[in-house]
Amino acid sequence: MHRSASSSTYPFAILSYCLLSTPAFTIGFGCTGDKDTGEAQSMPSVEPTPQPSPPSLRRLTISQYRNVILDTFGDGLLVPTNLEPDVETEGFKSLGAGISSISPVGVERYESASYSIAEQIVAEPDRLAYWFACELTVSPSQACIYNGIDSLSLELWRKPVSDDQRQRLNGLYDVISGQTDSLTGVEYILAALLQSPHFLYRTEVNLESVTDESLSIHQLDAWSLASRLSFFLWNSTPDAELLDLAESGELLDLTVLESQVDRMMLDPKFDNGIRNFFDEFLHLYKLDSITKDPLVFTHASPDLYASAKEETFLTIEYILDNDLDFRELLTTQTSFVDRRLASLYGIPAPLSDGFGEVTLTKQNGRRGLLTQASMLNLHAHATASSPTLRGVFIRKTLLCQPIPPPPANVDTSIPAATEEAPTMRERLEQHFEDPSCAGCHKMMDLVGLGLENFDGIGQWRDLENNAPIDPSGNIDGATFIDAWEMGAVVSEHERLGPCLSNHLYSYALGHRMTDAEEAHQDWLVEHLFYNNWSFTSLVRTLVLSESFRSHGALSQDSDDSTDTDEDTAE
Amino acid sequence: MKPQRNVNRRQFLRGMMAGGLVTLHLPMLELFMSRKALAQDGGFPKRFGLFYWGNGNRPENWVPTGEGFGDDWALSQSLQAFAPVKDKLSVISGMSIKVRNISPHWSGGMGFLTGQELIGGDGNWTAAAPTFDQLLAQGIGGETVYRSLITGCKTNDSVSWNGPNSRNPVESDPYLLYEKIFGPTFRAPGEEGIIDPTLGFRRSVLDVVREDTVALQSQLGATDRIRLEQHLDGIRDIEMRLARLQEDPPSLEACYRPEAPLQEYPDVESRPQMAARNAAMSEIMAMALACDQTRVLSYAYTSPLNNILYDFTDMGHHSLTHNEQGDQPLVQQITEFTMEQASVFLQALNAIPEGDGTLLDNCAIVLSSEVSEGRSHSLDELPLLLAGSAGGKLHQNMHYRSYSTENVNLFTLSILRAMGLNLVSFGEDDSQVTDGLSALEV
Repeated sequence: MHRSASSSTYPFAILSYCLLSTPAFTIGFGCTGDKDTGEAQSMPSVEPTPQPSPPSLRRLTISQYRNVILDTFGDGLLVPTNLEPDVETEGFKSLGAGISSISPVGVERYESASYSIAEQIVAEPDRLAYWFACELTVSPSQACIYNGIDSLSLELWRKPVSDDQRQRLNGLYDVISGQTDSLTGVEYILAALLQSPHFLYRTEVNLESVTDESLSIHQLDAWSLASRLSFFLWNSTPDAELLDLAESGELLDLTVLESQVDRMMLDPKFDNGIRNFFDEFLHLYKLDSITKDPLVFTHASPDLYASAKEETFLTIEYILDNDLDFRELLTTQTSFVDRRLASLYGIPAPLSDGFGEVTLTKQNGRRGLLTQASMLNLHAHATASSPTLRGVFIRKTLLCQPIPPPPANVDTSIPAATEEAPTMRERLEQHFEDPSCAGCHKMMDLVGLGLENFDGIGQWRDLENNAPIDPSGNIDGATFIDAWEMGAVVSEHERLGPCLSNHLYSYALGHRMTDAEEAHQDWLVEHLFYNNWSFTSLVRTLVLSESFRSHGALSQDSDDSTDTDEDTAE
Repeated sequence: MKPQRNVNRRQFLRGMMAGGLVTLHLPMLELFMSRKALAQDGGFPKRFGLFYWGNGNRPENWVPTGEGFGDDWALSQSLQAFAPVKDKLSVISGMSIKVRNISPHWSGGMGFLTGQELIGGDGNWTAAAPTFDQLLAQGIGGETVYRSLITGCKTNDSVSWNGPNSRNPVESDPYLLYEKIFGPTFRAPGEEGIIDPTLGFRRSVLDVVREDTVALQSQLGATDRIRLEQHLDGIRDIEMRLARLQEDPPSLEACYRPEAPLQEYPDVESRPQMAARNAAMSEIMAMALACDQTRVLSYAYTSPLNNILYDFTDMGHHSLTHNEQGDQPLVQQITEFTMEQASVFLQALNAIPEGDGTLLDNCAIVLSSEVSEGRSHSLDELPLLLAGSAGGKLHQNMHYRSYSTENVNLFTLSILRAMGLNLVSFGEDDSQVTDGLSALEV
């Protein structure tokens, strides 16, 4: 599925980009409290001065590791997934990748994975033909091998090797091939390249300028820019064209960059990039390890969760491919179901195997992301729905509204259902009587109760304990009568645009947006509104921004982090 | 594991002569070295194990009757499963985790395991310091194939941290754990070693990777330099392990290659086979200690906040602690079941003879959870058990009752010192202690 990134669908994006250098269009932006923000079409202002954070190493996530191997060496390899686990920070693996430190077991797993991959590659030496101009199995010349090692390491490390590194790698090859054969020598070279920190971490630092301590803003060098671009847009490594443009330095030219971004957004790999963002943003990966009680939910099965995830991805792709207002994700009556989901939803199954497009109706009660099985399963208990968890998701993830953890030393139990209080709403209302709980719980539960017509796996129900469910409620003053309307209320919430922009910026740059960077959130929101909530335009605005192309000064010693166990000597 | 390629001995010896920039590591040189003397204090090595479970207990059913040693105290309702090993068990009741309870479950877990308050924020809580199993891994883990083993029964998350933002991965799959320890690289006492040139090659590769890492470090900011230092630690651990694999195995009489567990323990109607999994894990972990493959275990039987469904529950464990009414008989039943599994683990250790006693005698096994009462997330009246005596350093068959909500770090410091760490203190700020719990120390 290709994203339609032709200029005809991006008129606003290109226009807005042209405006970046036109300071005259600085227009006050005061509509954050306005319900009709989406309609505002005022010209976006110029980008605020970047306030970039210090660069930080970003370890490849497990999905990036896999994508890089397959994009580099071709499909058909078995890429180990038993690696150092991804670290979630606020649900985002891409944020955890920038702050976590690897465990000793993780280093061991990377070692073992490198040999497993290297062994598979040398078993089919054709996979190496792109870098090695000679036959590896029939005593190739040393020069040919050395050249091959050079170009292979450039590709895997996303930057050229230094002289020292070259010497070390060539020396390693000589020693091992001297006792075995050239193919085995290359096998160990592959293992060494794949274990190297230059492969496992993205550095994204301008090594030339960063030593100048008088600077607080550094432009990424061309190699780092190629890497940041491709991992953001493709969730994978730069391809040959990007590396060529990095080598020549042309990538730093804005016109070249712009055409590369357009090319990349048309590439099928852009789907991987988009899917990965939403996988992390919406925590969809958690569907891989979810548990439901089959004694309570007869539809529950791992296949259901996989289908549910796919439905959400397909809906997002539908919005993006048609360049619709992104908020329609919350209200769209178009969805994509397979037989399993159709059965859960009580709608006709698609005629063929796999997923088919369906139009949901009011009768069905279900439309938009919040009523999809993925969200309803994720934010629920193993044996029951959870208005609280669903409310937390909407508040924290979609609207970026902080919710403090429950206070300690309070009785957190919800009263059991009784004849007087048969439904969750009535039981929670009893709970609201405790003032230390009521504040936050009203904030969460009165939203989540809007989804109570959907049980813990997302099946419709009218009754709970034989009593009718009342799904009405309000979010910050905007009322709704049921889930059908609730999606629309969330889609018009003033926090939705800023929150989406914040998440995307943080994801792209690998750290949670700092206070100093918040002007960029507002600036991105302006573009989002100006471009009629086109998500792909938002992506494009971001990658072409100065912030995306820069980093701050190196972090200095002195901080209190990771104090070692100095007094634990034996 | 890397399969061996065909390298004949002549080629191999010729290779030994090859010079060059890269060091070739020679397995032969170390092959005939015997393992460092095992004996400490003239006996067997001391081992540490943590048995951790999630979501606490029902405190009113936990505390034993009577205090003191031997027949002066009796197991409580929750602890009945320990009858077969009561003579090796001590119960320390009434202790408290002395950190602010700012994030339910996380505060208590981190507070106990690191001795200090967690850091970070909502969505990113992390350990302020290494968990104490890793202090031990650094202190006493250097002589074995693995500094520590981080395992679980049914969890994706360990309770072992190297420090801030660095959590150790967990191995919860009995078969993978078995393969790791008792797979092709394992040599039982007396088994002939092999000359495996690939081990030397792997060390040569690690040399290159290490030099690359050091070079990269010099170009980075302070935080990233520290992060790469931990990567270097990992490289050094592999190097150490490769060297160990080429040494003679320690000659421990009780060590043998155990039977492989099942390849899979699938859930039954979304209920994990906890007893079968735990029995398999217990056997492998016990033999890993008996064979001196490691001396430090962190076993997350279940994790804080887990929502596991049991055969006898219709709600996940964590949900149940908050939603079951009254005296919470189902929560109580989970606690009793959990203690049965803990007892299986202890009995596996106690079944292995070492000298005049058993492996368990040479262990200090700490058993605890991240809260006491799950419903209220309380950090007082912590469930806390010790099994084994660390080679005679700690009291067994004792119930010690604290009447002043003493700091649990007192207990931990006693354990760490008994294991051989010369620690001045444990904990930070308000939670810091400089003394152990003297009632526990022999």
